[in-house]
Amino acid sequence: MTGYKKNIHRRTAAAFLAAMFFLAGCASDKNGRPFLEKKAAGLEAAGADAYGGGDYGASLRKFSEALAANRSVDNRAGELSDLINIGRVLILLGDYGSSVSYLNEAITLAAGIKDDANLSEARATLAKAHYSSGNGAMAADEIDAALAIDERLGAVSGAKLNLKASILMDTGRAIEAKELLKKALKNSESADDITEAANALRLLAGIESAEGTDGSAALKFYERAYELDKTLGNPFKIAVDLKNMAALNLRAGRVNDAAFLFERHYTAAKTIGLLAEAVLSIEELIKIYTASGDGKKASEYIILKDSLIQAQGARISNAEK
Amino acid sequence: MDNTEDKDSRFRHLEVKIGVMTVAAVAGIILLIILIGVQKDLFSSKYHVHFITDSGSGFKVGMPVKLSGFKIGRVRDIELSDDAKVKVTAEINKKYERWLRSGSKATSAKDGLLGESFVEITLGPAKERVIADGEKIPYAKSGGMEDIMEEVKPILTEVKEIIHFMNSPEGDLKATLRNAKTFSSDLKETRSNVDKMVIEVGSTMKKTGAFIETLNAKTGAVLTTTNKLVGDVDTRMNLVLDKAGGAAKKADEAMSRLPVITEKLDAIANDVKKLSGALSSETPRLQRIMTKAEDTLTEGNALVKGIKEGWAGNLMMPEVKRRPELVPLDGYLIRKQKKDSQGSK
Repeated sequence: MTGYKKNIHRRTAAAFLAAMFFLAGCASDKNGRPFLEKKAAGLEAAGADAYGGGDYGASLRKFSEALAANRSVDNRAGELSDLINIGRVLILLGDYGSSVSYLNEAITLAAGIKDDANLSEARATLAKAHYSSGNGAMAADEIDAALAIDERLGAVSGAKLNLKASILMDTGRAIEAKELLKKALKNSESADDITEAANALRLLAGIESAEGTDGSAALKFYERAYELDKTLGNPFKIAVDLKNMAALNLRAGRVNDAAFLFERHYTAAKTIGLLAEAVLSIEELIKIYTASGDGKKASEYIILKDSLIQAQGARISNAEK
Repeated sequence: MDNTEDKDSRFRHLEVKIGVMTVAAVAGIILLIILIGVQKDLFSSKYHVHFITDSGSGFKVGMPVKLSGFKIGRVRDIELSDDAKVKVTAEINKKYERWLRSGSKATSAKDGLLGESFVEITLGPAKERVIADGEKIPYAKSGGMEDIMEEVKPILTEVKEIIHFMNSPEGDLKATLRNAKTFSSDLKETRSNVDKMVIEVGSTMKKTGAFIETLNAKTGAVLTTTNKLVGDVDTRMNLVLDKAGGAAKKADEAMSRLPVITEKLDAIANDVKKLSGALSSETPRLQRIMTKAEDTLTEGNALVKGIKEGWAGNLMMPEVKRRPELVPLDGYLIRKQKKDSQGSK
């Protein structure tokens, strides 16, 4: 009894140590979980960053790694957002087939975990994938389903309304599209979503322009879109706005305004490397100055056009090598 | 013989204390085992299905079994059958039984190229019956790593050739760099030409403005003289003016139009000035904004990356409790939009 008591403190310490090691072993899986979730969150942030910068290849890699990390710790919410994000990146990369399969997976998962908000996002993204691949009917079904979910949740999304309006415009339902776009514009403006507000304005301008009027209403929409795109600093959309504003001014007979806008479009398009677009503007400028009898300016632009075509040819042949 | 209890009061009732502690430790361990068991689905009811495959490589006991990306069970057993085939038995959570119907197939799959291997079971058609416990399901072979390597081999050879070509002086990379250099010097020249043009337009506008002002002054003087002359003629030749009254009225109207025309000219000159101002401010603006934004972002990213990857950053980073965010449906410049909208608020 005395010997037992003498060693009791050692035995107790050993038992404690064993218990501690056992507990640490059991807890190791729980410690690994937040670490991997943190890692996945970092990868998602990097993916979103690359997406925002237009580096869609890098964005796809980061989101795919985040997906693997989230799956390894059964983080369903993270997995779902990664699947939708991958679907969105793949649309921009033009891989619509892969996008559709990722988004179908996202829809199954969202339904399984009853995440209606993301179910709506997944279905809207699937609508965009179908629309981009030229499948208007399936796109219409998916966007309707997404909007129905939003309505049930009491949410309004400018992006989804714009997409629905684009689909309607393609089937010649311009009046319905116009109503939706007005709603999308109002919602995007109140939500500070500049990108979608500008998209709504551009689509409205497209409808007005196609209606065959003098184009003054369309021009106003393009001007507002241009102002928004300037605040975003998006040169691709600025170039689109300038070109459309120039064409509408030319249609209305305001030749000087049109020429000034074509010159600005040429500068913007050349800066971002859209040489074919820049050449189109120069051709318009040549026509304008030839018609106004300013032969000197017209010949200057002819020389500029030739040099641009040469640069474009060099670029194409380098790409083909 | 020493009595420890008498010397140190802490050793009194030692057996009871040890007993309580042991019971508490054992209870804690049992509780932990139960918690882990619940978390890992050890206590939920299971049922088994099996499939036969030619080779057991790539399978291991404990491997996850998934359906539509969800883990529904794990591989319970792998055994060699009498006819030298491999029988893989999967243990499935009973609650997923309804998805496994005759028509469901098992395949081996991977999360990405280097990810975790798992067994994927496909969803059976709704009209078919549910698979019974212990029933066999068909196994569909999927392309393994070796197949992928065989497919990748020619691509790797091509990549090697491309790298070799890119490195040669006449290769794509070198030629493109040369072209880019030429193109950027062209751009610089175009910029300086535009700047010169803007300066010239500005000075021309100034000259035009001065000319218009002189014209205005001279026209005013001419008008005053003409008015005086008309006044003189009016007093001296009343009779003649009576007869030619209509003609004088018309001359007056024509004269009154002159300041209106001058005003219009002024407005046009102002418009041209505004447009040339807009052109000069807009041309370099895009480039400046893009360069500055890029520099700031690169620096910011490097700093944040440094902090995040450092050990101190790892320790101080709070545990992730957030709802994952989605990128916008329209993929354009998120950072800039966020920055601007914050700035505008």
